[in-house]
Amino acid sequence: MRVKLLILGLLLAAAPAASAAGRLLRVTETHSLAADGSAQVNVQFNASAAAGDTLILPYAFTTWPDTIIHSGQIGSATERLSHGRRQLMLTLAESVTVQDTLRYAFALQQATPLGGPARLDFGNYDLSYRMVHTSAAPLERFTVEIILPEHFVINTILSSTPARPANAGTSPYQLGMIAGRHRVTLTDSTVLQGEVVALAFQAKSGRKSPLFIAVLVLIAGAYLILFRDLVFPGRSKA
Amino acid sequence: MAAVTTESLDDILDLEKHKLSVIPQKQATPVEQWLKYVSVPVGFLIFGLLYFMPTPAGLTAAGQAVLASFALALVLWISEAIPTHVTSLVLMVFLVFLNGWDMSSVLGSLGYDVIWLNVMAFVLSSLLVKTQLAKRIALNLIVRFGHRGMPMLLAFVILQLSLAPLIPATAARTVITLPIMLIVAAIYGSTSEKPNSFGKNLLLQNLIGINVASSGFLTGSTANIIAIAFIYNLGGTKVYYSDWMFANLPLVIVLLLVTWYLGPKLILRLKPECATPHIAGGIDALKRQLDKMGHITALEKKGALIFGAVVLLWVTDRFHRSLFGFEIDPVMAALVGGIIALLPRIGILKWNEADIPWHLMLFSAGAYAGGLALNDTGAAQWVISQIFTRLNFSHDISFWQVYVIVIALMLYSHLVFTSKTMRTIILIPFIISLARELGFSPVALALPAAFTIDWVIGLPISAKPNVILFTTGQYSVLENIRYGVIVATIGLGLLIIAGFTWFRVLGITP
Repeated sequence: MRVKLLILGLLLAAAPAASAAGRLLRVTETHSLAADGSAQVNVQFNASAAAGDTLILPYAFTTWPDTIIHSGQIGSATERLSHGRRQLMLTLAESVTVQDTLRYAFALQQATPLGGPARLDFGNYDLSYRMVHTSAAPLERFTVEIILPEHFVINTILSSTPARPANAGTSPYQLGMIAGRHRVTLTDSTVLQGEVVALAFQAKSGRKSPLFIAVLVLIAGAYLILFRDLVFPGRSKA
Repeated sequence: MAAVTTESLDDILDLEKHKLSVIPQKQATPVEQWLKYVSVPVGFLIFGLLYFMPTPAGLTAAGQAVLASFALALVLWISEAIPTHVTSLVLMVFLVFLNGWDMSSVLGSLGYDVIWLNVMAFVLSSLLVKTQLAKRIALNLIVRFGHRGMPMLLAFVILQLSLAPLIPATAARTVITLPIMLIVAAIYGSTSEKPNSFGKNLLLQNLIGINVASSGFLTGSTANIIAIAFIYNLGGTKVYYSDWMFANLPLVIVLLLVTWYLGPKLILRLKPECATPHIAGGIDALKRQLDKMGHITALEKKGALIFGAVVLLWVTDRFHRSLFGFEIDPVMAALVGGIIALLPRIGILKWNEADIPWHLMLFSAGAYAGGLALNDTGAAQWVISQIFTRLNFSHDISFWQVYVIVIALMLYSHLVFTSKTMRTIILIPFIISLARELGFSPVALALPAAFTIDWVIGLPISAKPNVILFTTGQYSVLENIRYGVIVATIGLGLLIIAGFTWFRVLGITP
């Protein structure tokens, strides 16, 4: 059975209807993964809310970060458990409009299985991301960017939500590189309440064994000797 | 001229003695020998460069492994350093061992509909051979048109053009005509053991005829319909059946006629000794042979009935839903025909009489596995996007420069893609967005590009008919490339000329 390890997931929601609710519009998450299994998470978002409003962002990690660093508009960021689900509660220090960009960031140890031994064939690690939009107001645009550690590559994208359409040239996820590191970016627009944005993929070390090169050279050399009679008829097969 | 005696005429016309399932031993030319010799190290070198380079941005490690493995297979297929079906097996092993594609997907390629269609196609083809129906049709064709090679080749061009609007499935058209081709080739002295220039021209012209004729009609392939959907949904222009046919059918006819004329004159020269039937007594002997066959036998009638029923299902596919409530796929139609043909007492064939070249199935399975893995891992899309990025079109580029590049890219890309549908899905949206970005009408670029979707003529792995015809052993991979690439280039020239003239008249190009 494929070991599925949830590396990062943020359940985003606007403030509950009962509270003075702010509205989230665009959210971009950047997860920078390290080879030791730790991760640096940076989130930036646009919201429309008044000072004192609370934005609740469910938080799906198994451990809490030591510190959450946030931009000035956010007065406090605290953790809470609600119905067994971890959440982040952001209280705004000042009113914000959709033009304002708010940020918070945190670091986590053992956020991914990358620090441990690879349990899959070919040294692959299973990584996945899942976000459920629980807010009533639709999210205009949601983007998550996962940056792999140096020398790591994405081997296969196993699945994505939204899925890559079979008969279209477009894809919801894009592969790329940033500062010499491989990354995958998943984007969804108009995310409605209850919709999921998810990505599952396998990653592994990009290093390849030089032994394989030697084997190829040996086979090619042996072929040139054993099959030389193809072009030098006088020279019989070895 | 090495005319055969009338005693051996029966042998020549008896295709049961020239089984496709038996791989013929052929003597390679010195050039081919050299190609075989260098292709393994060259293939490994290309493989090594692609596999060991740092994984580029936008490509997965699996995609990189697939790309490298497919490049190696392509070199080995072209050179035939090892048998093509063994190359396919090597490719399948590489895909799995290098973590390019999972084992069940790779092995599952042997169960694709195309493989089933191939198997049933050969069962039906064996039916035509056993009943002597193929022999009768071939003799009739030769007696009427076969005094000289060129009219005989023209007869097949007309035949393929006539069948194209009736039977959209290219593999089906191949099956119907394959036994006839083989008998005609044999009469002209070309067999799988000793192919000559007539046999090569005949098979390759049919390969081109079957594929290219499909592009004359919007319903010629599913990929054509997908392209039109893209042009409508992304480009905003509705293209009707008649628009497509008026624009492209004249081009198709011209291309096939040019190929018919130039193929035997320039590409693979039809030697004078191969341009007439290799039968002592010539056409008269064949007439006598036809007379000797007498009236159509009960077995032939039975065979014609079974085969006719399958063809009827193929031809009437657009009415299936209203007739049966569902559409019968060409594969299922062939399967039904195969079952009837093999039924004891009711049918005609015994399993042992069905000439099924299983090496072809392995060859096809490997080729499809490689092609689909290229698509599935995003490697094919990555290659295309790299080409577009490298071309770096600036906004002051003229429409005609872009037109030529886009058409050429679409046309020659079939050498890498083994699926017309995938090629269409990847390239047509690219072309439409490129046109939009540069301020050109999307239809002006995408429609002429779509006209080339079915021109999959460069390699035995490029399309189903190519795979089937390749098993005849009448031509090599290199000859297929030579013929296919030259004809594709002629087609490119025609499309450029049409862009300036015919397409302008029709309002497609500016």
